[in-house]
Amino acid sequence: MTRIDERTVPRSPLARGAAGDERDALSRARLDLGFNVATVALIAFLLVLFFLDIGDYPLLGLTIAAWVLVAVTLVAALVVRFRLPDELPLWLYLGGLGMWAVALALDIAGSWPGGGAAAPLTAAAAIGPALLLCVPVRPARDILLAAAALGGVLAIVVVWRALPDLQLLGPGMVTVAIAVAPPVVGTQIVRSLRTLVQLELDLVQVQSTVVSPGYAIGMLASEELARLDLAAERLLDGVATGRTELPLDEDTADAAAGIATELRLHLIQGRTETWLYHAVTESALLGPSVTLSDPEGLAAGLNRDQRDGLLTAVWLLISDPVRAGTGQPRTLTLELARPVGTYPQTSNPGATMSIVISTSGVPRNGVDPAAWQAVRKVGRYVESFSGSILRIEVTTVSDTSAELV
Amino acid sequence: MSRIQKERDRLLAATARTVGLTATATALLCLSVPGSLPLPLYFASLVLILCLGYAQWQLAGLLRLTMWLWIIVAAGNALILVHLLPGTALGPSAISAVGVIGAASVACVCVLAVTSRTRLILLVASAALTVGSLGVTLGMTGSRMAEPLVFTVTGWIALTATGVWLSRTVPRTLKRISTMSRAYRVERQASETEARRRQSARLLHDTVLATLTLLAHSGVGVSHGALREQAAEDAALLRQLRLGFTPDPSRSGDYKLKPVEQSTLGNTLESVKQRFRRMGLEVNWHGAGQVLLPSDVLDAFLLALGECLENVRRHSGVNEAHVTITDDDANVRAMVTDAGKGFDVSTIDAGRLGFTESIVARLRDVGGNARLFSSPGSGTTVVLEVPK
Repeated sequence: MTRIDERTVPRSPLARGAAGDERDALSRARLDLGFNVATVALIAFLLVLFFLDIGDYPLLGLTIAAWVLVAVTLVAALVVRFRLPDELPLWLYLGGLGMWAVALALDIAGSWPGGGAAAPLTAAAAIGPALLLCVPVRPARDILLAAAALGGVLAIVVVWRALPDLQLLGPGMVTVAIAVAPPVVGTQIVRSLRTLVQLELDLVQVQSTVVSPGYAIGMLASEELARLDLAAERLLDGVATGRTELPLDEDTADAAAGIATELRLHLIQGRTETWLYHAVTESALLGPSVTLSDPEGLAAGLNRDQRDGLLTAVWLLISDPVRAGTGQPRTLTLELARPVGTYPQTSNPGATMSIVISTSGVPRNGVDPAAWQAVRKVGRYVESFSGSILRIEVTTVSDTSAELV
Repeated sequence: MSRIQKERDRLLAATARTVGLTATATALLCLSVPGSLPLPLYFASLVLILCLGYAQWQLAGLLRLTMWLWIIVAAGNALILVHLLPGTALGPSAISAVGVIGAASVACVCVLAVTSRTRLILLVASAALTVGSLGVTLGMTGSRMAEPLVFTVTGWIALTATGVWLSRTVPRTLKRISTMSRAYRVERQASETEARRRQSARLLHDTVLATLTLLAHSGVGVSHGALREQAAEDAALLRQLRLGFTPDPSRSGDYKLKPVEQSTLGNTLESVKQRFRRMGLEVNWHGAGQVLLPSDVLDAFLLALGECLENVRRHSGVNEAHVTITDDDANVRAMVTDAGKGFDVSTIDAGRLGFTESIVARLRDVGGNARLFSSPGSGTTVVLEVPK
């Protein structure tokens, strides 16, 4: 309907900030440092193992060459890392993988049992811990693919070599584990940290509604208004400068009518939505999973502590499986209503309200204790389980001094 | 326990569990290689491995952590000591198994053990115990000692380093994020202010809406030159709005940037009149012209008036309208009359955007009201009322 040039429309300030914030909050330098110690320790162990068995290598030169290659990439990685952009460029990563592939081949060839003596694969296994260094700077898929390939090749070699003497399988399997486990565990850690940071950023953003006016326009609507103004400006400018022919063709006329209608709606749109509505719609986590029913806009009457408690409780109930890394956010229904004839003596009918939080899939004893603490800030509550549905009924009293729970 | 601590422990426990279970599975595979252990001992070690694995699995629950940590240490060390029983030198697979158990299955406790002083004691004690039982087992059976011992020491160092690093990174990161809440708050306020600023530029939007509507109806009845002129004026005003000014019309045919707390009606009425003249509707003013109104009331009033006149222009079939302004102590009233076609009031849908939302809603916003009188063939009268 409205033909609005998306390229020049300003993007959401939140969306723009989030990526940078996340990067900043993750503090990549520290991620690297954490993995560096583990990498160096594991590679040092493998080097010691190599020296312990140095006499057993049929083609010592090849294995030494393999170690040199690994050492070169390692030193290069440790030196170059702090001058690189946030993400390792693909060509550099592929280059590293190439060198490691060569090292892998050299080590396999160098330790190939010629005269029967079994020499352990060391440089080849060191590739795994070295890959750990790439974990914070490459997408998880890249790392997992490389680790799988490395593990596959090593497993084949190990099984092949153990065919004459099954007892050799044990050390071989440990070699594979040393090569594959560090990058995989590292990927898991980085992913958990990233989820954690995203959830926290979401929570912080949601909580910023706690101090906003009870009824507000909301960040999305305010951007929408700016967008419509800009669209109108363009259209009028086109007419004014003669770029647009008069009378308008059908499409442009439709666009003008559309902008006018939307603009009119946005201008008369008072502050009919509460802070809670905005908190829910603006949040990437709450938006899709919370159904809010507050026809009378009662949420506007909650004070700052109550708002904070309500949001935190809802957020904790929903995000628990995400934070534990076990699944999708739960769905939750939030209903705000006036209590039915319970407080006839209350002079101000807006002072009390009942909030019903119902959510499914919460284990009976699996509610985060912090969630109960948060609910307590909102008001008196009664919880009940029916089937798999947890129902929390909160009765609030706006005057917090009267709240003696 | 604070939320930050909980998130930290959750991550540490998940890491410890993954590392521990991976290592335990590897050890199980090594022990299952034929010839590693005599069969009865193999079955005994299976029970211990189950214990070990179960305790490691329970870590992620974060309940009774210290107990599970001790169970891991006990089961792991028992598994290592089981290898004493055959009394012969251990084969390569058995050595690998005890090495993995020492280096990672038991050592996974140190990821979690760095978080408190009491757990640090557990860490040191279990490290000493593990190295000790490994040394005893390997020494007494006369097996190769160097590799498993170096491996174990490496495992403890690497995992302790990981634990220390994670237990510092998580709280620091979360604290940094919570300091961002101020920034979000400021941003939200700024956005709210911006929306208010745009919404309060009502008079401006009034003319923009009128022009847009005119354009949408192909500018019937208005010369192209006048339309372009009006569009240029409106675009310029929108540009000013976008650049951060609050344009506010104060005189006829001309807009000045100034904040107005109170304005007189007369000046602004003149600008409305000019605008409609350009579009072919002659507006005749009657009555008081010098009424002082708060700016938001004035905006709503003028907006409603503009909408009424636009309706006259489009629907009445005449090119003249009369506006009579009267005021008393409490209210200002405008009566917009035309001698046009008129219509049957009962036939307009109450929800029609034009009248109810544009006119009535804005007037009600400032405490005013609008009434509509019309019948076919006898013109239309709209009475707008706002408080002073």
